[in-house]
Amino acid sequence: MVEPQPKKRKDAFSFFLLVAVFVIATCGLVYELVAGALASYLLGDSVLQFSTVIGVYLCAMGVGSYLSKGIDGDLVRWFVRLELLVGLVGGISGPLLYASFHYLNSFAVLLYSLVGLTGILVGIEIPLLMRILSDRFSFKELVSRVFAVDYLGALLASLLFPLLLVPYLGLIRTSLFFGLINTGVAWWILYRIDETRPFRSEAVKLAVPISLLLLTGMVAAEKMTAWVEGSLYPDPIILAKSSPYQRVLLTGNKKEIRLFLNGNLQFCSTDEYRYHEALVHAGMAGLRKVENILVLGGGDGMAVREILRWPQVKRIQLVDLDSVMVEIFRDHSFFRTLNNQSLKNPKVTITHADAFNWVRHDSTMYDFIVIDFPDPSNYSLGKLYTETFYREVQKRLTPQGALVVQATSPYIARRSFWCINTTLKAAGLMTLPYHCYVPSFGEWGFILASPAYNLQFNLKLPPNLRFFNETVFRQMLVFPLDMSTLDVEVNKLNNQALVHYFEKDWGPYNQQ
Amino acid sequence: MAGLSPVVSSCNKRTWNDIPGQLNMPNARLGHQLRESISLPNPSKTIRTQVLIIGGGISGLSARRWLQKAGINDVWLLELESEVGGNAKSGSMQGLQHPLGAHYLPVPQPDQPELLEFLQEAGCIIGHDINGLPEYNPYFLCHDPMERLFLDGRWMEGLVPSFGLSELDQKEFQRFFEQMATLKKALGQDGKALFKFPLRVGSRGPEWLDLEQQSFASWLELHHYRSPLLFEYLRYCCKDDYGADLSQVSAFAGLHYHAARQGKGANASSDDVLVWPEGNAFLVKALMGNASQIVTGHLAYQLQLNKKGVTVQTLSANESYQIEAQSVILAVPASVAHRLLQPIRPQTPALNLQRAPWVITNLLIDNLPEKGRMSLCWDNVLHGSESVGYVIANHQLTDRYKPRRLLSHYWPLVHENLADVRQSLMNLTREAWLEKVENELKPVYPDLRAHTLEANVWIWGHGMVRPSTGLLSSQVFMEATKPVAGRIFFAHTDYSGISVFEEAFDQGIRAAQEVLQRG
Repeated sequence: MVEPQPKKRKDAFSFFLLVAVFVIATCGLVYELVAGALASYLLGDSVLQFSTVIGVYLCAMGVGSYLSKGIDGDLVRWFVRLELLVGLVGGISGPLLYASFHYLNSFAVLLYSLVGLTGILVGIEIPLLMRILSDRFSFKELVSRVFAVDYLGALLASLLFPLLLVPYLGLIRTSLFFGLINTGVAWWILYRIDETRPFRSEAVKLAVPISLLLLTGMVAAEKMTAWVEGSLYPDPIILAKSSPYQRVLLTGNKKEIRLFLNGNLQFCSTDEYRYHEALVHAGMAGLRKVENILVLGGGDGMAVREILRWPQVKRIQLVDLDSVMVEIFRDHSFFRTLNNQSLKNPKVTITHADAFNWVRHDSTMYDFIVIDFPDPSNYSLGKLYTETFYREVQKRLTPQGALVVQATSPYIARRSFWCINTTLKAAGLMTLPYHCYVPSFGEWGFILASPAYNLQFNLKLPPNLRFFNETVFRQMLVFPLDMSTLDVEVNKLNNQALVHYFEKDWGPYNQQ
Repeated sequence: MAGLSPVVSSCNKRTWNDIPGQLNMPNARLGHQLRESISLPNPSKTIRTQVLIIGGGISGLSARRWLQKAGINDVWLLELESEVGGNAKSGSMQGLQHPLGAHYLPVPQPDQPELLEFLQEAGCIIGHDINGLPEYNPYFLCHDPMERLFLDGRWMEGLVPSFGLSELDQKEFQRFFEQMATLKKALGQDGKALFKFPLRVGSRGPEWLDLEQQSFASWLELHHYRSPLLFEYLRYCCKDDYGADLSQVSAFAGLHYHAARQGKGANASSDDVLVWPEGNAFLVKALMGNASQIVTGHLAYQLQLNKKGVTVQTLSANESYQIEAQSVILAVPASVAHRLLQPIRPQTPALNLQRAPWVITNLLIDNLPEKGRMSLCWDNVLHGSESVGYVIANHQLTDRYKPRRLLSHYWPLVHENLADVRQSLMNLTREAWLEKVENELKPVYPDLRAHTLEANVWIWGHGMVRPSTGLLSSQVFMEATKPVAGRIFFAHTDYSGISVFEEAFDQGIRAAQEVLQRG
C-alpha cells in the first residue's frame, strides 16, 4: 500500500497550488485597483488613470511571464520567494504612494514603478505554477484549471474592492492586508507541503520580517495617515503641498473636492458656487462699468471664473502670494477643471506678491476689487483687514467702483464680521453687508463697499448662474437678530482689534 | 534619526566666528586725538559763517532747522562722524534696516507745538480730528502686538506682568499706577506741571527739589513699596530711559518716566509710540532736510574768541579748516564742550555727569522659532534680564510673511564704575559679546545661533546721560547752558539730564532761540 499515499499527497499539493493561484490573482488585481484609485485621486481623470495603470500592469505581467523561462532549479522554492516578494511590494505600495502625495512630481514615477514591479512578479508566478503542476496534470487540464481559477480570483477582487475593502479598510490597509494574504500563502505552502522542507528555515528568515512589517503597517495605518497629514481629514487626501507660506491640501471623495489652507477649509466643490457667486455677482451687477477687475487672494481661480462670466470684463489682475496655489489651479489638469481653466484665460494677469505692499505700489484704477483673503486668524492676516489697508485699496478704486470683502461668518464670528464693516466705514466707504448660506461653511458674510455705492441692479446678470439672482440678493441683505449689527472697534494696525475679536469668536469652536 | 544627528550637532558647533558681522563703535580714533594734542596741519580752507553748529546729533540738527526756519541760512554744521544723527544711528543687513541707538518716540502731549509741527513736516502726523488732535501716520504708530514680557517660562502681553502676581504685587502695581495718575496732574508751588516735556518748562518749586534730591530707590522705600515684581518693572524702566538702576537716578527722573507720558492723538494714546525700521534715523533725515553746509568727518579741536565772533579750527583725516563764525552752538557732550572751552574759561567747573554705556546687538534671523501662543511683538522683554530686551526692527513692515526677522537687542551697562566698564568694552570681542546675548536669550531661543545669518555689535561707550540724584538742581548744571561771551551757546541732552529725542529737539530750539535773541 505504497501507491495511494503519494496519490493523496499529490492531490493535496495540486489543490494548495490552485488555491494559491486564486489568491494570487485576487491580490494582483487588488494592488492594481489600489494604484488606479490613488492615481485618480491625485492626478485626476480616473478613466485615464485606470487605463494606464491596467495597461502598465498587464504589460508588466507579460514581461514577467517572459522572464519566467529564465528561472530554473527548485521551482517551489522560487515560488515561495516570489510569493513573499509580491506580498512585500504589493503590500507597501499603498502606504508608499500615500506618503508620496507630498511630492507630486515624483509620484508618477513611483506609481508606475510599483505597478510595473508588482506586475512583473505576478507575471512570473502563473507560468511558474504551471510548470510546477505540469507533471501532475495533462496540459489540457492544467491550462483550463489554472486560468479558470485565475479569472475567478480577479472577479472576487473586483467585487471585494469597491464593496468591502475601500469602505471598511481604506486604501492603505487594503494594500497591506493583501500583502499579508500573499505572505500567508507562502507560510501555508511552507508548512503544508513537504517539498519545502529543505529550504523552510531559509524562507522563514525572509517571511518573518516581511509579515511583521506588513502587520505593523496594518496596526499603525491610522497613525500613519495622521503622520502623513499631521491632522485628520474626513476624506482621503488627494494632494498636499507645502509652500513657504502655507500648507495647501486637497481632499476628495466620490462627491466632492475640498481645499484646506493650513487646515482651514477654503472651499468644497459641491457648494463653492454659492460662495463665489455671492462674492462676485452682487458687486458686479451693481456697477455701471466692469472692465478692469482686481482680485486679491483667490489663487484657486474660482472668483476669477465667476468674473469671467461677464463679457464686459477686459482685464483681471489676480494678486496671490502663493505660487503653489496658482500652480495647482492653473497648471494641474484635474484641479483646473474646477475653475473652468479661468487662470489660463488671456484676460487674467497673475502676480505673486504680498497684497499690502502690492496695493501700496500699484497705480492702476479698478472698477471692482474682490478681496478674498483667509480669515483674520493671526496678526499678519489681520493687517489685511485694517483701516489703513482699506484706505490703500480705496485709492485703486474708480470713483464709481466698488470692492467686496469676504468677511467671515456673521453667525459664529458676529463681532468679527461687524468689525470689518465698521473698519470699511472708518476708511471712508459706504458699506452693504450681506450673507448667505454655504452648506460646508454655514452662514457666511460679505461686505460690499464703495465710495459712492448705489444699490441698483444696473447690469444684467450673466446666464447659467446656479444660486445668485436679484431676489436672492435682497434676502441676503436681511440680517436676523442673532447676526445683526454690533457696536465694535475699528480694526487698525496699532490695535488689531479684529484678530482679538476673531480669536474670541472662534475660540470655543477651535478648542474642540 | 541617527542620520540626522550629525547635521544637527554640526549646526550647534558653528561658533559666532562663523557667522558674518562686525563690531563697531563711534569714531573713537579721531575723538581721542583731541586729548592727545598731536601736531596739526595748517588750515587748507577758511569758511565764514553767521552760525556754526558743532555736533550733528539731534540737538545740533534741531538748532539748524530752527535757525533755517527763522530765515538764517548762513549756518554750517560740523560733525565728527561720517554721518549726522548722533545716537539715532541706523544700519542695514541684507536689505533690512535696523537701529543702532535711539529708535522710537512716544506719542507727544498735544501741548508741544514745536514738536508736533516737526512731526507733521516729517509725515508722522497726517491730519487733525475735529478736536484738533493730531492724526498719526498709521504706518509709523507701533503695530499691534506691541509689547510682551517673558516671566516664569511664559510670554504675556504688555510689559507689566499680568500673570503670577501675588496679592502684594497686585496691590502695589495698582497703588503705583494710581499714584502716577495723580502725579500726571501734579503742579508745583509755581503753578507749573511737575512732570513735563521738555524738562526745562516744568516746575522748579520745592516739590520738584524734594524729588530731585532723593534717589528713586529711597522714594520707593519712603512710599513703602516692596513688591519684587514692581521693583523689577521699575528697574527695567530706569534702564530703558536712563541706562541706570533705581538707586542711580533721582526720584524726579524715575517718576518722570511714568508721569510725563501724556501723549494723545486722534488715533493714539499715551501708550502708543512712533517707530520706524531704521529707528530715529528716520527723524534725523526729516530734521536735516537738505544736506548743504554740513561737513562730516571733521573734528573741532580749538575755539578762540575774537572781536567779530569765534574762530574754530577743524581737522579731518586729511585736511584742516578754519571757520570764522559770528556765533557757535556747541551741540556736543558736556565733557567735550568743557574741554574745548578750557582755554577760554579755565575757571568754570566741569559738569560731573555719568553717561551710561550701551551695547546694541543686531541679529538677522532666518525663521525665528517662536514658542508659545503669544505672538512676537515689536518690544520683547525678559523679566529679570540684565538687558532691556529686543525689538523687531522689521515689525512695522506690512509684509504678511517675514521669514527673516531683524532682532535689535539693547543692553545698557548699569554699573557704578563706568571707567572700568568702558575699558572692558574697548577690549570686547564680537564673539564674546554675542555669546553673552545668546546666553541671555537662551530661555526663549535655545538655538538662536543656528538661525542667525548675520550679527553686528555696536558699542556706545558714552551712550546717555544719567539723571543722577541732585544733578538737575546743582548750581553747575543750572548754569551750564549760560552763553559764553554772548557768542558760544550750548545744546545737548547732557544739559537736560534726560537723553531722549524730545529733550534733544528742545535743546536745539532753545540754543537757536538764544542765538536769534542775540541778533
